[in-house]
Amino acid sequence: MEQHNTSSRPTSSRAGRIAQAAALIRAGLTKGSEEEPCVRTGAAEIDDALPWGGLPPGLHEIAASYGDPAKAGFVMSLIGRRPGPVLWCRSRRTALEAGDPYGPGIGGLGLSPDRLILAEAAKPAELLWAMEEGARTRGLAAVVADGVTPDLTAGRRLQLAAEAGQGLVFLLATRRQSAASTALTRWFVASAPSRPEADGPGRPCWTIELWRCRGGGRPREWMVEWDDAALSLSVVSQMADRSLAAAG
Amino acid sequence: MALTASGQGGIRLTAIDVAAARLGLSAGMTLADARALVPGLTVADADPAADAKALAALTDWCSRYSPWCALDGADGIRLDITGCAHLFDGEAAMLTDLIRRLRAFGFTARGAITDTPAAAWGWARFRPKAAPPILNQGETAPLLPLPVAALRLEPESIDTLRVLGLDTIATVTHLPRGPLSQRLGDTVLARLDRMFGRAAEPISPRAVAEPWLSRMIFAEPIGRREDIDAAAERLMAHLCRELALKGQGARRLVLHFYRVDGAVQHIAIGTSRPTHTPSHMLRLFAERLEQVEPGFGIEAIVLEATRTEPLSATQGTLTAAGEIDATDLAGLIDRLQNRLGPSRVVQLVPVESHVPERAEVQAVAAVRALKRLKPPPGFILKSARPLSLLPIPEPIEAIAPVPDDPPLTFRWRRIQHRVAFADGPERIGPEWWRAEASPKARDYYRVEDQAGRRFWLYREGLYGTAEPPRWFLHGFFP
Repeated sequence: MEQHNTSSRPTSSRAGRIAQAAALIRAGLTKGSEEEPCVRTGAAEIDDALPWGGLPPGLHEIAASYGDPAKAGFVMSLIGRRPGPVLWCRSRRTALEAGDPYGPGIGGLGLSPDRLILAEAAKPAELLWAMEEGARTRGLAAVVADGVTPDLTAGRRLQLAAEAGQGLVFLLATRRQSAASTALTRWFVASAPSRPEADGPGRPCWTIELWRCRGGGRPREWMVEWDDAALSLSVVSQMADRSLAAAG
Repeated sequence: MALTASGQGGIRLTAIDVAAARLGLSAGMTLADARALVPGLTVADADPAADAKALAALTDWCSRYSPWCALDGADGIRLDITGCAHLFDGEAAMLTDLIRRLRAFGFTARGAITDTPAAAWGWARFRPKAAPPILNQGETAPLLPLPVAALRLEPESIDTLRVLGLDTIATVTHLPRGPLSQRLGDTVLARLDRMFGRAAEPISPRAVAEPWLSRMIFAEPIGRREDIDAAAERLMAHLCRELALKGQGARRLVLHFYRVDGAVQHIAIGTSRPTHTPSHMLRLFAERLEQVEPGFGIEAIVLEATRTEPLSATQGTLTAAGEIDATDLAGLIDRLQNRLGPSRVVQLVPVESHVPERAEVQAVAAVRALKRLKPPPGFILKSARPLSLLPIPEPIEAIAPVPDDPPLTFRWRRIQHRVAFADGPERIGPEWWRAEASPKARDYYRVEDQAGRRFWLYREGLYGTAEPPRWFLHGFFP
C-alpha cells in the first residue's frame, strides 16, 4: 500500500511519508494497522483511542437502536470532513422507515447536500454490489449503506475493495450486531439528552461507544456534542470504560 | 389454406396459399363460393394486427441490409439500398440473399430493385414471370407493358381506366396530361411521375437511421457467450475509433442481435457523460449480455450509438488529492444506473419552496451537477431543519393540554415518548397557489424526549375549530 491519502495530516512531509511507507513494507505489517487515516473524528480523545489516529480506509460498522438517527448524524459528521462525493445506498424499506437524508438539514452536520448520490437497491445482493462498486472508486469521500448485513465473505470483499480504492465504507446497522464481522471498527451510538437552549433542544449530543477495534484494546465510550456552527465534535465527558462486555 | 374476414356480402377470403391458388381460388372470393369449389378448404381468421406486427419485426430485420427500411402498405417493405449493395457483392447477390432468407423463414416473397420506390412496388408485384427482378438504371421500357394496377391505384380508378380501355401503363403514358387529370384526378399522374422518377417519393425509415453504426456479419452463426462478447468488444473498439475521430462520445448505445430465425434482440445502455472508451462500454454491457438468447445462432450484430454528444476537452485532466476524477465518477454512476435503474440513483436538488417536503427533489444523478462543489444557494442550511425527512408524515397520538403548546407526550410506532424540551411553533403555511396543496397551515415543533431523541413534529389545524387538529411526525434531528 504505497498510495496514501494526502488530504489529511497536512503537517507530515512527503519524505516522512515515504520513510513511513518504506518502514511499513520492511516490517511486513498487515495492511490497515499503520495506515494513515482517511478521516479523523476531530475529537482528540477519540482519535487517540484509534490505533490509526482516525478512521483508516476499510469497513466500519455504526449501529444504533431502531429508529435512532444518531448513527446517520455521527456518520455525516465524519464524512463531512473528507472531500468528494458520497455514495449513500439504502433499501426501499429503509428509505420509507427512516426517511432519506434531507438536503436542507444535513448542512448542519458539515455535509453539503450536493455531494450526496443516493442509490436505492431492491435486493441485498444489489446493495452489496453497489457498495463494492463505490468502495473501488477512488475519490469518493465515503460509501454509506443502510439496511444490509453482509456475511463474512461479503464483508471481506468490501474490505478488500475499500483498501484497493482507499475508500471509507460505513455500514449503518440497527441494534448491536453480535455476529462476527470483518469491520475494522464497530461502534454503537445513541442520542443523548442535549443541554437545552432557551427551553428548546440544544446541540446534538450522542453517546459513542467504540466496542470493537482491530488492534485497539478495550472498548471505550464517550459522550460527545456536535457544534453545528463550528462543525466540530467535542467530548463532553469520558464515560467509564467498559472492560469485558464486547472484547471480541 | 385460406384466411378469411367478414367483408361486403359475407365472409370473404383475404389471403390464400399456393395450393389454394392452384385449385382456382383467389383473394376476395366469398367463403361460400370457395367452399363450393374446394370442399376440403382449411380456413382461419385473418389477424391484421398480428400481421402488421410481424411485418414490422421483419422490417427491423431488414435493417441488416440497409439502415433505410420502411413498412410499405400492409404487405410490403421497402429498402433504400443506395451505397449498401457493394457490401453484399452487388445488387443481384443482395436481392437473391434477401429473398432466399425470407423464403427460409416461410414467407412467400417477391423482390425488385429499380430506380424508384414506385417502380419497385409495381415491378415486384406485376412483372412477367420470365423478367429479371432488377431493372438497370434508366431502364423504364419494361415497365410500360405492366397492367395499370402496377401504378398502385385505388380499385375504382383501375376500373375506370379499364372501362376506358386503358389496360397497360404504356397506354396511360401516351395520353395528354391535361384531360387525364380532369378525368381521373391527380392521383394517376402523381403515381406515373413517381414511377418514372419525375417526382420524389421519400422513404421514411421505420427507425431514424443514425450515422454511428458498426456492424458485423458472421459467415457461420454464433451462439457461444464468449463469441458474442468478443464480437461486441470488436464492434465497440471500431465504433469508438470512429467517435474519437469526430470528437464525439456516445450517451446511448444499442446492440442489435439478428438471429438466424429472423428475431431481433435489442440491448440498450445509457451513459451519464459522453464516452468513447471501449472498456467502459463493455463494462456497462457486460451485465446485460447475459440476457441475449442466441437461439439457433446469431448471424449479425450491429452496435449503434443512438445519442452522441461532443466530448468536452477537459477529459483526462489531472486531479488533485481528494478530488474525484470525473471519468471515474461518471463510470460509477453509469454502472449503478444501468444495474439499479436510472431513477434509483439520484441526487438532491433544491427547490424554492417553504413547504419542507417540496424544498428538494430527487433528480437522476449526473456528473455535471455533482461538479459544483459549493452548496447550491437554494438549500437553506440551518439546523432548524431535520437530518432526515419521512417521505410521508406519520400520524401520532399526542397530548397537548394548552392550545399552541407542544405536546407533553406522544405515541409513535407503538412507543410512548415523553417530551423533555420543545422549540416552536414555526408556522408553515400552505402554498395556496397550488391546487393540490393541503389547505391547512402546519405548526412545527422541535422536540426532545427524555431519552435524548430529537423529532420534528407538526400540528395540522387549530384547536377550537370544528375539526380537531391532527399531529404528525415528519423528521428526525441528529
